[in-house]
Amino acid sequence: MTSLKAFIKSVRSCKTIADERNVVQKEAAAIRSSFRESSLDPHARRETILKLLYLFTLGERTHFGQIECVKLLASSKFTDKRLGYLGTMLLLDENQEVLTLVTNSINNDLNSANPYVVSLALSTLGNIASQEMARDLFQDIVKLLSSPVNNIRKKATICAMRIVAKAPELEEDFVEYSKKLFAESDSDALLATITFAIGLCQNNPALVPQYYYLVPRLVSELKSLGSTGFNLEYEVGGINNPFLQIKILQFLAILGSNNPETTEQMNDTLAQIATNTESSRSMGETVLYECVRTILAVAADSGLRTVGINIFGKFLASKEHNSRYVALNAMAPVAEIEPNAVQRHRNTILACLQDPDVSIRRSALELSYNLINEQTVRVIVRELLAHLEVCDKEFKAGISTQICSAADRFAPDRKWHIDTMIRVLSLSGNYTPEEVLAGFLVLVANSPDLQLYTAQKLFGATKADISQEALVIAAIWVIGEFGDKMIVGTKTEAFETYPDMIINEDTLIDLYSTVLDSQYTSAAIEKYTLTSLIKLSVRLNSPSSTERIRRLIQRFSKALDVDIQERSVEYSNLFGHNDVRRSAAAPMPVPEIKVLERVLKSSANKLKAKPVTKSNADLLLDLMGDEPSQVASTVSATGGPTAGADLLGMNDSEPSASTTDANKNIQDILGLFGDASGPSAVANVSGPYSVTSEEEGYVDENLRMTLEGQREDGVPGLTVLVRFYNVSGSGELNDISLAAAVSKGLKIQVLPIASTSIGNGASTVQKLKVTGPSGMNVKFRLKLGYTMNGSSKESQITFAKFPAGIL
Amino acid sequence: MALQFILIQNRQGKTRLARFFSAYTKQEESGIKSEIHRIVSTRDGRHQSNFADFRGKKIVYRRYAGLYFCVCVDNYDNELVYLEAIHNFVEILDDYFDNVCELDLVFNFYKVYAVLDELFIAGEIEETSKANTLARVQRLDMLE
Repeated sequence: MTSLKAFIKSVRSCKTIADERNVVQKEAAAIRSSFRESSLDPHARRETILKLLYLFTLGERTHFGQIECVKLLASSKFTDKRLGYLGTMLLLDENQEVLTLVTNSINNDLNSANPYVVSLALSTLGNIASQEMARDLFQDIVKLLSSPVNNIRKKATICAMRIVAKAPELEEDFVEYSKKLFAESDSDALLATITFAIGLCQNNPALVPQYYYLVPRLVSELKSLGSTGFNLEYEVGGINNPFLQIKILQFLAILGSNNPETTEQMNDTLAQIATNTESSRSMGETVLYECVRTILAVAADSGLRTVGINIFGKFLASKEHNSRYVALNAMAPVAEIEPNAVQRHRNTILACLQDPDVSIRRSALELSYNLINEQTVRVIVRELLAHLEVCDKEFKAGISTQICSAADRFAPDRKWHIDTMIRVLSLSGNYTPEEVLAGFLVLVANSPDLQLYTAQKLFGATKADISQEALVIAAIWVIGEFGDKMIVGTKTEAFETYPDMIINEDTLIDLYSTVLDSQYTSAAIEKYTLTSLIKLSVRLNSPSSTERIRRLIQRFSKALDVDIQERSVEYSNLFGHNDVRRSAAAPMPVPEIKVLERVLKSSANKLKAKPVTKSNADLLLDLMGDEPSQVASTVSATGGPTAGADLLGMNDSEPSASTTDANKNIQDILGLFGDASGPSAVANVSGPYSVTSEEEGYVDENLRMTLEGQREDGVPGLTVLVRFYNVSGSGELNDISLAAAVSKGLKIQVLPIASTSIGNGASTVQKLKVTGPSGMNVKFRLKLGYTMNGSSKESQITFAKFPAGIL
Repeated sequence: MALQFILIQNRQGKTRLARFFSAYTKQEESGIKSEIHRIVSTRDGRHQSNFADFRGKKIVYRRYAGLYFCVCVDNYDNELVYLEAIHNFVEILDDYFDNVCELDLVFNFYKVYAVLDELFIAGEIEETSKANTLARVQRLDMLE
């Protein structure tokens, strides 16, 4: 038998992979056969196991050695045990039956008199404990929590955390143990004890109040770490025990959230750390980062929050990619709560859109969406458009949608809105989601003053670049609807952009032929073109134009695509029935858009839609998945990107039947929106957000609470917006607090509530983040509390209204 | 809050150390190893951060000469702390092996695990003191 060293050397000296396989397989065979010998001396056995583990790190199959490792555990020698436990941790996983044998050995060793043996067993238990193990061994761990040996107590404390995570029914006992540990632990053991307590609180947020009493102690501990001289033993990176400082800060964030009293106790110290920590070294920056996260997580006063956000502002301007990355991520959730403080760093954030690191660009984008409001919309959308031009393909659809939703909500005037949309279509027309295009066409239909301008501009833009599908479709649609106006219309500002543009019957039809002949044409373009042509045929006067149009339509009478062929043949036949053609190609009824009217309140009156048959308007709205009442509440409650998602009709709860019905009806009236219906139904699934409807979670005479789930594609986890409405009709609701727990296997993060009091008729919102294996059902147990006129009320609610598989 | 796993890999993707704190099958483990190598080896150290997205979680990694030290954390975890924890681990290895190099980790892989087990348990940071850790590991070696 070769030694481990010789074996590793011979593997490393192999020149080819085939050689290596040869050596490895020979050794594996030798190891197998040596396990069969009963008379292996202890030294040779250890050497064999080591080689086996080396094989494991090479990625070989080593399951045959599991039992040998477990056998070593029973040896009385420390060397054997140490190797046995190492092998156990590497080769086994939680799901194997061999674990029962391991459980036995761990049980014995936890009670050993040798502290080093106990510590081996603890490490192993902590790393591989299964639910069963946790239940079998928790009493041994409890005993060790009061061990006189410091190191063992620390390890046992963290093991206890893992045990409760695996077997939550033991929680109650362990809370008491953790309190006892706090009473006993010096600053050396405090790190482990806090880790344990945080673990308990994360498993069950309802436990948090039990630890409120610790805040003064933690604060003074933190203060002394920051101010007293260095304890060299725990100095890392120039900071006194930074890992403990950070752990305390994390625990304070949990203890201070939604609790003004505990927050008050920690405010001063947080401010002190935020101002005194030396950020020139990376470790200092790390502590500072955690400190600001805590400040933002607790209900710290606005001044302190601003200090915190300014620290992030400094991070953003740093040369370090890591600092920018963390600051952008941490600022996103705060943008809604402290908009002004975050706005101040707008330029730095927008500069990050050009960062070479793609994840920094992504975070900067997310954050800049949150910064858009009435005042900033022009600046930010301009930056976003500039970014849209150069960004990776994967971002284009997302940015287009966000710009569109920002424009819908905050456009300063209609012309800016239309210009912005044309720019989006020209820059990313091949990635523009169907509903963005549909929204734009509705907008144009509703802007009679700007139709000529829009038509001319789209004509010019399309002549300049016919490679952008959505732009081409928009232009085709607009020419079909307003071709007559374009011929007789005067030159608008559009000619400033495209001075050489010539618009007459021939150039209009030329555009159609160019589009149809180009390599960029697609089935969607062809369908839109056919319908647009038949419309144009009644808007142009000269017989030669009509003849050209007829020939263009006829080109498709033998198209392979049945739908296109059918349109072509039917439209061609219409040329024999001029009366029918005229009425069929009449201008499209102007679709009503409530969203726009609400956003552009000032100009809404003069833009009142022409009278339309009610049913048609409703069907169009259905097509866009717009459920007006719901959108209204979303916008008023958050004003965030959610609203955009809703506006764009990605509502999962939309019954598909209505879409199909609508589709038929629309096609009957030759409306071009019919085309949008098919793809937009698909977009329901593939859009960046999936949203559940807002479900009622709780209601009484004073307060109504609703939950709405949102999921972003590609990003696991579910964001739940909890909204609280004051329906009391009389006074103000104060001290609103919500604790939430989820079923086992899921994890929940509770973000701070936007405001803990709401006036009569007002509302506030709080976000929960749920992560876990996809497809799991999401169920909550919620504890809701509030005070009204001095009397407080508390209720427990179980909420399971979300559809299955939302996660 | 806790780490999912710690990996040390070289630039060719050979794993030098792997400690998984959550239950994965061996097949999942090897899938993770090759995916992590794909992710970190293609990143540009000079122009990118030390954080990368990984299956809805985050990889915090740091390169030392030809070795990548990677840990997997939750999305809302403090990435910078784990970066510092990695550095602390490497400094301790450096003291322990007296100028550590990749070969030390190859020939003494079992000792590296011993150091790791003194610093992390159940995916949590247990010990942060360099002196304490070194004293303990050396004591363990003497027991052999």
